Amino acid sequence: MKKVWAALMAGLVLAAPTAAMAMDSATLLADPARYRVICADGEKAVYADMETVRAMESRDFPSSVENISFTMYVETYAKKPDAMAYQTGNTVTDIQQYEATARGNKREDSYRLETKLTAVYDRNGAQIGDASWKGKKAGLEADDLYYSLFRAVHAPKGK
Amino acid sequence: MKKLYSLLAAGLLLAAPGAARAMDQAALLADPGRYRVIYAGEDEVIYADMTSVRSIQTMDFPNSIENAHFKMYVESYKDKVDAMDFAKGGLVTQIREFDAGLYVNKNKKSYKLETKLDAVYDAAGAAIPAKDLEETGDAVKIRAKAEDLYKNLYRLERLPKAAPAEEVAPSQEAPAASSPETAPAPSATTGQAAASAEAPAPAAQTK
Repeated sequence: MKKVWAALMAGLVLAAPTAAMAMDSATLLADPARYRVICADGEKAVYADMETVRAMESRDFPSSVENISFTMYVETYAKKPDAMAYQTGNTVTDIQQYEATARGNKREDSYRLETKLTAVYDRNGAQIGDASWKGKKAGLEADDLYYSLFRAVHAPKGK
Repeated sequence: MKKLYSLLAAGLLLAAPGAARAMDQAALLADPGRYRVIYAGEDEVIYADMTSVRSIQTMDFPNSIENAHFKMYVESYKDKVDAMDFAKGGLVTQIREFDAGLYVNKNKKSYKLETKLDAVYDAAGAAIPAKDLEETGDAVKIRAKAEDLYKNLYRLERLPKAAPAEEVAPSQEAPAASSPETAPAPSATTGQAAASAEAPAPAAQTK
């Protein structure tokens, strides 16, 4: 019996780091230094989790290539919210979580974004989908977010 | 001579509050809690200084009209950048400072933005004379629409503020009868206007 418990515990310990952490709107808004807004308009807000950022750049001067991997959250806004939607805070339809890599060739000013959907939550953090989610995924262009992401990565630690 | 000095000193004191405070890109990035991003794209990033936000909304349920005024900073990115721009921090060409007003009728889904250019700085915070830009009309152009800004700003206005120590205890707060959905939306700087209040007609309109 002891061996079974030990095996279960080991399994839990190994599984913990890969377990998806639920994400809700309040968390994204509450810590703007950690969840940096790298793209925002009337349709969505895109956040980079700065604790997950791994940036790698070429060693030439000035470094011409920089690839940045990070966990990305996309809040999708309701299309035409009415007064009641604003009143009840119901303007976010879902939060999509991605493993993302932004690849930048700074010399050529060309950028590419690779994303892999890992989970989808409602605004309160309840999971409503996983990698196989059939809903409308965020349409993102690398050009829209690379400059802001680069500056957030190289910015001094925020308050 | 003494009178002359006292006149000069008085002049300085009077001028101080009106003097523009320079803004640079490092300051905007360093305090993301105060300077919240309310629009970001390929060409520009727009920040709202959350300490300057003053909003007022009608008392009907749900509050159908809301007007918000705030200090807005617009960073413009360089059109075509190269690796040296990244290395030297040359992505931002200018920072424009506006007094902004958002006038929103949530029932009619109409959003209007009114802006008044206050100052223009380079990325390091040095003032750039805005006269020429104003003449060509470039200075007041922004890509974001009023709806883009409001959808992001309204959520930030309603974020809970850290309660000061002398705040009333929870048991002394409003009675439980007022449920969150019927209570007015909380906002540290939000005032309540009469139900008949209408948004003032803005000079410049963005739809």
